[in-house]
Amino acid sequence: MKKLMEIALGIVTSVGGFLEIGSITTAAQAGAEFSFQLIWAILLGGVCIIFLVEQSGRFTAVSGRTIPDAIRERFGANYFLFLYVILGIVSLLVLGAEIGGVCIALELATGIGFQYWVVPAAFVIWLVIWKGTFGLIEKGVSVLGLVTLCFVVGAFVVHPPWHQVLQGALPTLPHHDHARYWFIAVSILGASISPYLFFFYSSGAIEDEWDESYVGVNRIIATGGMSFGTLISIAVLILAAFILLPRGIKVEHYSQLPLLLVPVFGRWGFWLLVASLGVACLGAAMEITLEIAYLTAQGFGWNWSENQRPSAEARFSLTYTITILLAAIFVLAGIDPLKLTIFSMALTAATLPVSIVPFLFLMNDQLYVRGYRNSWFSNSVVLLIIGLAFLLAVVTIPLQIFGGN
Amino acid sequence: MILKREKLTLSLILAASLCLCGCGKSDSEKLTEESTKVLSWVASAELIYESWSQGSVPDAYARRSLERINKELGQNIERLQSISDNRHPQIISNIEQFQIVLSQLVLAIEHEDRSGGNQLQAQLADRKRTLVSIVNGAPPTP
Repeated sequence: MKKLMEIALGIVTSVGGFLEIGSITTAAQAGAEFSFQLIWAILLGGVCIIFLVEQSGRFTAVSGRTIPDAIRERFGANYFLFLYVILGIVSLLVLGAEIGGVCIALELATGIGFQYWVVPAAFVIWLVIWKGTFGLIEKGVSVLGLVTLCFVVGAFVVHPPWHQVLQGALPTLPHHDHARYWFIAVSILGASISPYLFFFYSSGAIEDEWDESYVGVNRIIATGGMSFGTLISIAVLILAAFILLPRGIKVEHYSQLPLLLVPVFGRWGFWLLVASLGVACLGAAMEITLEIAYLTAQGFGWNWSENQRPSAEARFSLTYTITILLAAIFVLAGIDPLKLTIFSMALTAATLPVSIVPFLFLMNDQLYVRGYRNSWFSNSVVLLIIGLAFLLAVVTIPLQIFGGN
Repeated sequence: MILKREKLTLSLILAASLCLCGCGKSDSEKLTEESTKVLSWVASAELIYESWSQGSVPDAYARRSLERINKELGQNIERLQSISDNRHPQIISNIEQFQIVLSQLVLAIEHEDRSGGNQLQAQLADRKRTLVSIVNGAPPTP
């Protein structure tokens, strides 16, 4: 019974915590510019993240180690440092985008410019991490994130042509703007296969004290939670394709986002969008902040746990404090949050190989995973993801130039 | 010597990449792209106003968004000025008209003037049609 409750809660938190600024923006842009044609990219990203999250959870449950910790041990300090710098920069940019998303939600709600909200939003994020526990962040904010299910309800309410939606699950070539089409596809993959998701999940498994008996629970949570999460992204795309595309509206600024839900739910739609954007970005901002602090502490061998008092882990607490400060500076510098989001999603896609290649080695190393090694099928999928990651790394920058607008 | 040659090759690659980036699109394509963006902003403005007139969005949001769209249109004009195409003066003048109507629409929202706002919305739709005809090379409708 306890495990069943944990599975239910795990799926709920995964669903509530899935959507963030990157997935909302890229899915909305895809729908507004290419109708249902890019659903396949969201599905592909969803399948990849299911496998990677399941494997990072299984690795931690069996070995009692987090992925970054094992990468440092197995591949040496130099590789870890390389990963740390790349992941650190990308995560900081994504964090900046998420803080920007919280501020935009507050701007939409109050009419006061988003720049004025940067300091209060950063302070609230810091305060919740400082005072709260891992459970509060993981479950509390993620349960609030269930408000994002309004996109799914909206997608059903508008009665889209379902046969066309299903056709979008198969990749097809666009009739116009090829570079733009592929750039959005890459950004969707960057938003879906976020390294912070599986690194955070791995650290969360330690915080939640998972052991070998959680291997099955982990599989159900990873598959169920990420599948439902993917469904929400598809719903955003459907709404954009149904509402924005026929009017010729492209998503180029966050102020256009309420237009996704207002024609469906009226005034409620406006407030549901504000709540979805605010809560999703707030949750993601906390997770990314913690992920950077976890990565730092695990890499340098410091004590770490969100469940301990900050004074017991001063270096861990200092790291997340500095992280929030740096990310807030990005937003305060006046960078357009939407441009920052799209750029950071593309950069995430370009740097994926660094984070994903170690999986193939770690998940087959008996010293860590004993009898829970990857099957030939899981290894084939990881190899495919690595191939995809290298392809993304090569094409992202040219696509950013030619299709990034 | 080898190092010099490598540097030269690298510089040539960089220069070629920069040329590619700059010369990727013809003026006509750039003009169509900018016009599509303008039409997208105007369509957003129409939907925002429509939502406001139905009481679905707060006044502050509607006002702020329309002001932002006005600013974006200004940037469109700046970009269009660097494009050499014989349609460009007509397009710019059309965008300036959009800006005027949008400013009046903001005032209509401030004064809760729905009937005035509806007339302005109709003007936006007319201007949109004119812009489409200019971009497509057809004579603008009066």
